[in-house]
Amino acid sequence: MASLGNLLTTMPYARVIRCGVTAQIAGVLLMAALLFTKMPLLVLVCLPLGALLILVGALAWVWGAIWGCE
Amino acid sequence: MVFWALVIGAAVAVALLVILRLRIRSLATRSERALAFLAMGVVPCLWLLGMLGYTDHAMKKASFCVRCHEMQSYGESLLVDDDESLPAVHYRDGLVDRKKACYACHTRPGLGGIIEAKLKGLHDVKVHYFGEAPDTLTIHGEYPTSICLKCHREAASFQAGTMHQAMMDEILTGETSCLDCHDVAHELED
Repeated sequence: MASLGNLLTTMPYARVIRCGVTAQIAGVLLMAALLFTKMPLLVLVCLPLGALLILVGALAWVWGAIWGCE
Repeated sequence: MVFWALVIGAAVAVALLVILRLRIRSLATRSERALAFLAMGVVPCLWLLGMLGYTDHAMKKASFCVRCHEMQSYGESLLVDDDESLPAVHYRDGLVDRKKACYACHTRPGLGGIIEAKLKGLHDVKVHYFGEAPDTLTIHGEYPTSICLKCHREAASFQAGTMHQAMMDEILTGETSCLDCHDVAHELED
């Protein structure tokens, strides 16, 4: 059975980075909505979700820096 | 100023990410990896920190609290010109930061108070959207004396009060609440 390490090292670098970039674009746009509205329910949804997406993107970059570089 | 910095920050972050996405296939050179570091590691994370600070600041404002209709009459009660209404006097005389009047008088000092305020806020949002707010609103639990003492403890007028001096220990330990003697309830218009 492939270990997580093996799985990660065999995943194409560009694909992971692309997913991370997409997540970060979505996260930034989601959180940027809070600049224009302070509706409590929107704050409750956009703030944690946007932050999570941005952090997932940053983690994708970290993964790329550690395992993705040849 | 902060608002525009964050708007520009968001635009820069998205622009860098879009450029990166278009060049992902050729991330072999040092400069392209530097772009990935900037676009994915630095700019979005710094912008995220800025946004967290900005939204935290915005959620402490009285204007945020009174967005829910249940709170509007309480917000209006701060504008009443009445020397008997302590919340209104605090607001009128600028004894608290007017922009954060609700937060200043409904949050205990310290990290525990901040976390508690967030959790109570979550509860209030839940009730507002998915529950039914009662006709008469009450605060969660007892009003903590530590909130008043944040400002009044060092105030000469508080320390000089004869009654305060007589029961200072009970006040400081929270055994006696400020509300036992002072009526701090909001005066709502019918």
